Amino acid sequence: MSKSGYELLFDLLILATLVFFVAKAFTLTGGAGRVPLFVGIPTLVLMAIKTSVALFKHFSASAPDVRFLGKAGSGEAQSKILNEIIWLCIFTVLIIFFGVIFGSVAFLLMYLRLHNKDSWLVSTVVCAAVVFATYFIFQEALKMQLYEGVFPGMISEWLDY
Amino acid sequence: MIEAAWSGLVQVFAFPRFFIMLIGMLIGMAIGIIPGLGGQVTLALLLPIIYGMDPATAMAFLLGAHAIVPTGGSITAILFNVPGTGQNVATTLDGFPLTKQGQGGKALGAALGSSAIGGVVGALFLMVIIPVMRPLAFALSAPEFFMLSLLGISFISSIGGGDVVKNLIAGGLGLLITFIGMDSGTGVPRYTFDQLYLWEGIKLIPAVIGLFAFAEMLALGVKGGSLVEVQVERMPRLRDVISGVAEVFRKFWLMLQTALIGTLIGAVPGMGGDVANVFCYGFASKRSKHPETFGHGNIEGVIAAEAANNGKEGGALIPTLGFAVPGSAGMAILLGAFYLIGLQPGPLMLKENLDLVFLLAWTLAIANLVGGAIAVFFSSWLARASYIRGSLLVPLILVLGMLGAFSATSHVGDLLVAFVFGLLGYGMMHFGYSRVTMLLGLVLGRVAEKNLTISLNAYGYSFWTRPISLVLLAIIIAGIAYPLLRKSLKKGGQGA
Repeated sequence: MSKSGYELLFDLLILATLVFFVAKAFTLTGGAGRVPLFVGIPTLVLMAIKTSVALFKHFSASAPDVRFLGKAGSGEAQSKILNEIIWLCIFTVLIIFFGVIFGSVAFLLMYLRLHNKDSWLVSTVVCAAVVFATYFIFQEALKMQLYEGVFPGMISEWLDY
Repeated sequence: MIEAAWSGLVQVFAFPRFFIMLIGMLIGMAIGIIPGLGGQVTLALLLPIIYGMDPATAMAFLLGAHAIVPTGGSITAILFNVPGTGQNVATTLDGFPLTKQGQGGKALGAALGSSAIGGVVGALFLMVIIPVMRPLAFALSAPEFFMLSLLGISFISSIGGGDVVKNLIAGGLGLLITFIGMDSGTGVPRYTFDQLYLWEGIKLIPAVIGLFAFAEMLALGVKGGSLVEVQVERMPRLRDVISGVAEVFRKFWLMLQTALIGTLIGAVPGMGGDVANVFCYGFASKRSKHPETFGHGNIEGVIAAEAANNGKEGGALIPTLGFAVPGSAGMAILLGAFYLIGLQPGPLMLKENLDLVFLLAWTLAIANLVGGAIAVFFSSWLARASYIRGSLLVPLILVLGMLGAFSATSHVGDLLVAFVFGLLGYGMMHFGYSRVTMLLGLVLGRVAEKNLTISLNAYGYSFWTRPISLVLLAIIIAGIAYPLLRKSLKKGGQGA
């Protein structure tokens, strides 16, 4: 897909979000929707105009569009973006299911080994240093209870019973 | 007033506040040195740490870190031709040529010296303006404060660069997102999808971390490669750096002028450090007897650019503290931090927490001086931090960011909010929507709603016809219309 295609998709996503905000505001009772409508309607109108113009330009353009991030052609650039987004997804999922400590260890090791192609030594040292430092700062110094994750939580719950 | 100023100064040095501020400064400098990160990422990552601190310490910590970021950024701008932050762009123009001529140490000293003194000038200006600001702030009421919120968003949309329409949409979306949660006036839950987590609204910390830290890391990961390509054969010697600092005193009048211009630019919402840096560089080249030497290694270019970008922080605090209208992304995050720790910038703060206002001004001055001194002695070592690989930085910041995001309410929802805002922020970066305007919406949304509700209840729909509101409305309309008109006139001119 071309850059303008992706941009159009992004615009449509924002438009849909704004439509939701405004439509929902009409259903709110007791005057709770008054201010959201005050802000939402002008924003929605602006977005609708902008998207219409972009749609018109996109479908009336005859010249082939420059590919996303252009330079090298480049499906490569698109896959790089997708790759980074997938890593962020993986990290979020790991933390949610395995908790902050185990999730971070797994993510760091995987990212450094598979994404960066760092050696086992570098990966392990960096991973240990980061996890130790974050544990010390957040758990010990700031006395924050670190999230233990869905699976460890289930296991400890099961062990309690 | 004088008592409050003195009390503010004493409070800065209270134990352990001063040491916490020092830690903040060191973090700010380290992040400033690493290209690709910046003031917003620094504050986003530091926001979770302020939980549990008293308000004065929290603000000294955050402001200490924020104030020193451009100072750190000047080091890479001069030595490697890579501005550490957007606020150091003009510094490269003469700083790097000086390095190539073997005068990197002198350029570095001039940059650090002018940054430090420029920052102090900005802070002193802020202190002088507080007595003027107070009666002005006291004269305003809910309708004007609502208009000021809109003014902040419209100013950043129109003069902050990029497409005005996209910026306004981002601001509107930011405001709408703050309406998620229980409506404080009616008790009606809005946009909560029956999720208890959403009843208290979207938390600022995970949103800011996602919008800035995660989005920047996604961009850095996509870009890949080294942050700094240039290898410096020999790091500058301390003697050369100190001779550069002495140069600032030889060009003191220029430094003072550009620091004051930077401060004034900072006071206008939307005109950030980038504008101050470039504008003052241009100013210095125009007033110089040898303008042809600019761009080829004129030390005046470095002094002017760096005095301006540190001076502008004092100016940016004026609308933030007096009227709760942040002038930049960094100030918007600081404003969010004020609300997080239970402070209410604006007339209330100027009335009840005047010593805290002065504490912030003193923090700014002291952080610049101490930070500048640290940088003078350790810049050669600090510069090496910029050799860190981008690909190594990405997972580290992601881990820190996730931990920080989770600290907001210790709910798994915080992680999801950071994730969603990370994707949204990256999309916005890529397609030219202003994240700063959205952030402003996120920070000002609840306050704007409260002021609008009070205005509507007290004055009805004609609240905007009050004299000051009307003036503010006219400024908002002019601010939005001007760049649009200029753009269409330009197009017309090209077509003719």
